[in-house]
Amino acid sequence: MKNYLKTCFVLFTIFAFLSCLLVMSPSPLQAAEKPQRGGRLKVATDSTAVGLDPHLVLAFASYTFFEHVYETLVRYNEKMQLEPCLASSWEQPDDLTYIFHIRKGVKFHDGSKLTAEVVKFNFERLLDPKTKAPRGAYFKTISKIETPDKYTVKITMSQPYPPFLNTIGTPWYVAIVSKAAVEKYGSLQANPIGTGPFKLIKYEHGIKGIYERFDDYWDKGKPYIDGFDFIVIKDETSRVAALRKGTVDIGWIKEAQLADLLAKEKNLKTLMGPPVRQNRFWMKLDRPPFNNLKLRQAVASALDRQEIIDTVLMGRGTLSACIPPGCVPYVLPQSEVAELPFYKQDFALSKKLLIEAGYADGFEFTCITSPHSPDYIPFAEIMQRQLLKVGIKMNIVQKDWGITLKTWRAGDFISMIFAGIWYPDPEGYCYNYFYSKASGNYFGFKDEKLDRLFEAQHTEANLEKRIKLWHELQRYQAEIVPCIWPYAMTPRFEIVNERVKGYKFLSNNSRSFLREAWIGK
Amino acid sequence: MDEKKENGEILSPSRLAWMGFKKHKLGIIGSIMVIILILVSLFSSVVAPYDPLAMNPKDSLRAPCAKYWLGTDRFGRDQLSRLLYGTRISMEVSFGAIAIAIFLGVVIGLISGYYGGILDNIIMRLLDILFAFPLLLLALMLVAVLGPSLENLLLTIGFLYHSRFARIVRGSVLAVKEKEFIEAIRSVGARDITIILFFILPNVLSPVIVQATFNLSTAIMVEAALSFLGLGTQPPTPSWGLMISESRRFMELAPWLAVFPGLAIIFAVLGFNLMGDALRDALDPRLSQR
Repeated sequence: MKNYLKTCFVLFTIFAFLSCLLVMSPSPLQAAEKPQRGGRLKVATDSTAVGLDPHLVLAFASYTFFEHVYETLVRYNEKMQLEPCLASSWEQPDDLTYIFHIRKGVKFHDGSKLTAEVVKFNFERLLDPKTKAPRGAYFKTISKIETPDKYTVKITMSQPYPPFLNTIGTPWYVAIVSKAAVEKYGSLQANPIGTGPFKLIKYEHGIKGIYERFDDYWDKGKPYIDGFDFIVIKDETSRVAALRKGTVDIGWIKEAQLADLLAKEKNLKTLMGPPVRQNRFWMKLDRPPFNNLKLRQAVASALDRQEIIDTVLMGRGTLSACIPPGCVPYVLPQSEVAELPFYKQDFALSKKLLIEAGYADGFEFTCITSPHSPDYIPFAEIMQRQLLKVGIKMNIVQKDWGITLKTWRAGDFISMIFAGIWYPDPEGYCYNYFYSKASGNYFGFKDEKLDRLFEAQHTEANLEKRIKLWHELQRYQAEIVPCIWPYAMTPRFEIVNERVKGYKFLSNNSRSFLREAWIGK
Repeated sequence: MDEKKENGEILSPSRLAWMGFKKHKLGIIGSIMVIILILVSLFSSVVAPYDPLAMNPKDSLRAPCAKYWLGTDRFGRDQLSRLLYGTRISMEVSFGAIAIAIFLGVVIGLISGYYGGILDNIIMRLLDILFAFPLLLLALMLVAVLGPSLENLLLTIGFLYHSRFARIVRGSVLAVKEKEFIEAIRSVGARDITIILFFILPNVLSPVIVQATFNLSTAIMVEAALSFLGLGTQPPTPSWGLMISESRRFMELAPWLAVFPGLAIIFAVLGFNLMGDALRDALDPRLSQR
């Protein structure tokens, strides 16, 4: 018995010793991957902010500047799933109620503390008509905001609003700003104060923003870098040159051909998001010629979408229904998208539809586009060529980007070509444009069945049922062609220098992962 | 004097000019280049091996080879055919625009120079305003207002260049109208319009011709610049400027797409300039006396 105990003791000691060794010995692999503090990065962007108050601006360019300063209650991880951020947890007791438990000990850049009261203030500011928040309308279903205690916020809806969590997770919808700063400055357009990992310490309009690490950031130890310069380089080829020379560490490009070229560089890697950016052929749907359903179907079936993807994007694109393939879980499987009505090039069908539409001799129309993004004009040109084969003549008119958007909002066009960006919910991709009562319906479109489907999904709280509705919406929209979605692609190609570690690029063009980035040797 | 050759023959001014021109070797080369350009633009449909608009995505971005002498663009369109058709657009724009400019400029210059006084002053100050702006900037503004198309491009360039001709014509008219022969004609009771059209105009044409050849080349460049910026010729019409603009993104992958349209522009501009140089020397009596 004594011997037995002794053996046990010896064995235990050896085991303990060995496991200690194992834990303490520095594995070379682990040491190399351990994030290191310090250093600054240079990040290039392509356009300049119009203002830095997240509740007051609509521009994506502004968002790229302020997303490092502000945070949201919940946020997206690299798989585009929601995770806790300023709310350490949340619950949804029923379809109409959301309860957020606010993280304790979070400080704003001005030293004020985050409490439930501040969160309530933020929502009220967004909803207040006096604020004139361009995205306030997204939250009109909120009926009550309560703060049962200092760190709990309870939001009650007047009707189910399934996109709610996804929407408040997007910094350009509900970034949480400092109440004290709003009271001090009124608007934060020039004085962004949030809880984010970086402070904006200097902003030169049209040139750059200088960011510095926020030492009181709630996620202790992060960010790893001391800060970064956010530099505006408008010209894409200049941005490529800067990346190659290493004068910037991170920079994004839009052109697939350039991405091909940079893929060959040894010290650069390319990060791509899922395909969420759809190019679009918009039509004015309440006046001739495109108020004619058969005619729209004729145009759709004259297109060879694969040929478009191959020539315009060098194959770096995918087919897209009315919502892009990156819009999971609502999107149809790619194999089914290929089988959607009028998605295959079929000249015989197209000609037949043209005759039925009353345009047996073909017709002529103008299409407005802009050189703003590199794929607009090439797509217009190849579409023009493909349509010519069934006798449809499309005249391309290039306009300045600002004028293009203005013309679109005024509904003063026959057809237009330009792309859309990522949305937190499938609604963003088409509901806002083709629902007859939507504010973005610049096309004068009204279709009763489509309206019914849109309304049903808008309040459907059950995910399974909502997905089914969206599948039907995708099939039905392919049939009635309110718009042509030739392809979807990654929003940008994010080019990153090898020395930058731990950085990830999100499909909503977010660079929020700069908080996790660190500089290797 | 020069007008007498050794055998004592009296030469007509045009013959004299031709002899002066012949002596100018570079001028001859320039004229040959211009003639080639004109022939190509007239017969581009015959010379071009392919339809310049035909897309052939399987052959996209081919380097120059036996099938495609100058390579293909992203849509697999033949670059040589596009260049040849582009010549036609360039010639159309430059000749058309300069014709408009000459017409406007000569009319304004004749009136302003012949009648003089307040009218002359007003016209010339207005032209000064036009001169004060950088040409390309003004062209950009006008095209943006009128909307981009080939016709508007023609009108814009024509309008912008007329001031140059007006000024030259006015200067010459001022000199010519003081000559004795004009006084003689007036004394026999000729009307102003007769004097202007039949006696002054022929005497001010030679500087106009010289100025026109030089401006043809700059008009080609303005057309290319505006098309490059998306405000000129609209796709798919092949135009040199548009081709360079489209190729700029492929500079490294397919350099031939930028090089050949660039060379074409150089060829045209050089041709017109060399010819203009020789014409100036031949038509300018002061220079030929040297």
